[in-house]
Amino acid sequence: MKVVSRFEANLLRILYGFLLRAPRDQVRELVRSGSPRPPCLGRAAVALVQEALAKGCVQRLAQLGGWRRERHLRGDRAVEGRLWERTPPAALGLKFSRHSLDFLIWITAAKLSEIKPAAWEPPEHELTVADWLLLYLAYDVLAGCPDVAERLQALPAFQRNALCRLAYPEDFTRVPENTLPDFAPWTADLGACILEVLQGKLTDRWVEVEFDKGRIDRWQQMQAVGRSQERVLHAFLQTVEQAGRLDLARFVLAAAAEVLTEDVRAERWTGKLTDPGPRLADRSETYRAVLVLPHLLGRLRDWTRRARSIGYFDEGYAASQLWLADWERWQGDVLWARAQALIQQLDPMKQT
Amino acid sequence: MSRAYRIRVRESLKRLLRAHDRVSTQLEILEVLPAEQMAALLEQELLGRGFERQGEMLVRRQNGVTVTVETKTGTVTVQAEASEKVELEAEREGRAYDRSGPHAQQTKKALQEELQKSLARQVDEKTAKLQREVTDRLERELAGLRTELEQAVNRVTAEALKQKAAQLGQIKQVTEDPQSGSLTIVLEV
Repeated sequence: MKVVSRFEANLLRILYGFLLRAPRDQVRELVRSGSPRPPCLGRAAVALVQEALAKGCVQRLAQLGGWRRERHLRGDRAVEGRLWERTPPAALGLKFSRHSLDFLIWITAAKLSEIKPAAWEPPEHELTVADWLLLYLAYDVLAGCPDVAERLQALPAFQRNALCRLAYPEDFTRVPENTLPDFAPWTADLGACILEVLQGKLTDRWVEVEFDKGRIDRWQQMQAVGRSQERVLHAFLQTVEQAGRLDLARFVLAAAAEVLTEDVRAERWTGKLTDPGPRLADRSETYRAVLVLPHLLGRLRDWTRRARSIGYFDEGYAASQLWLADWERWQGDVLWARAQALIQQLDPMKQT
Repeated sequence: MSRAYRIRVRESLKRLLRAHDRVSTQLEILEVLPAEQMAALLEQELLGRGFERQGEMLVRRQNGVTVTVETKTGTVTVQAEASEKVELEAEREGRAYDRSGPHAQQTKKALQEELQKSLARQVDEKTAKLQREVTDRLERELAGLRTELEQAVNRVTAEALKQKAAQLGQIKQVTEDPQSGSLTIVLEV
């Protein structure tokens, strides 16, 4: 039996919590209260952390969507199967840097219930895809705990975490406009595989955000949420377009299909919004924030138009066909027509 | 027995208040002809409706509202602005236990601060009122503009259809119903 100190036990409990092997409430309580930081960790504790990261992260990825039979691009062709069937397991190895352990030590020691806990600022260029994934898994568990989540939102490592920003756009409304994650590592190799796995989760989150917007009653808040959504999705779509990985934006279509139902009306979003803003310019911006998803569908429709014009012998044929299959699966043309109707409904200069 | 002194403070404030509002939309023009030709038709139609060319834009000023149309993209921006010079003056009175000693100074300072806050509040109220006026003016103009732009787009579409039809064959008959906006073109191909 391995023996660990109280601090190490807390650290492991927190890590198990991030990997959903320990109750969320316990983890939240531990990060709120903090523990005195020891000079170093024992060999046994480090071995247990390594084991948990190696097995737990892989298991989480499998649970999150790796098990699903999906079609995604591999080079210039579409491949169907579970994640480990689409990509050889050797190419799916997660490499954690020392910053992952640093983060776990920091989050165990820092009292996140305090207004200004000790900061954790690792050099971003040293963070690996696996490190970013661990930070995302941590945020995913702590997001339901507003006081703790707020401390994490203030850290650059979370503000520039592509997965956190994509999955929780409504939480990063106070981040400066120019602070955006680099999505490029998530459109190739291991990063793209992780993003493939997270498609279902991202769909659920975007649907949730859209429905939650219906409860917003202040126009300033609506604008803030809409701006954050638009900023992150715009940057993401641009990157996947450049990388030719349109399939990674599948979650946007899937979310739009759940949100833009046959009976959809703008009141779903504006029901609680008593005042959209004092000026027409404010109202216009509020309505744009309300309809971020319908507006961004226009970009996906452009992709579809382009995909339709790509012939069998042209470069990017497989990617185009895969995108067209997605577009048809979620009835993109119907969604786009519904999106246009909504945009017109809230356009102050709408044409009848 | 101590005596109270009356302290009177007067403050004035001159400001130029500005209010601005704008709204943009996209004209929905069917691509019957290539985009450049549709843009040219739109430009022709809008010039006939009193718009003037200013660089890449067509601009018209009406009742304090400026309408700008970018024909290439079909973006319409309607904006209104207003400014107003205000001169505000206010006076406050208080009491102090000395004429120019520390209490008088303290009272004077407090009165000044109170006055400045009051004047700032008045400026805010006036700015908000001016802003409301600008927004109301813009809203009033939008109602008429909506209809006019719709008509312009319909005419552009009709003209484009005629040109397209002429490319396909010989036009035998053109029937237009301005009430319903319908257009029937009989062609011999």
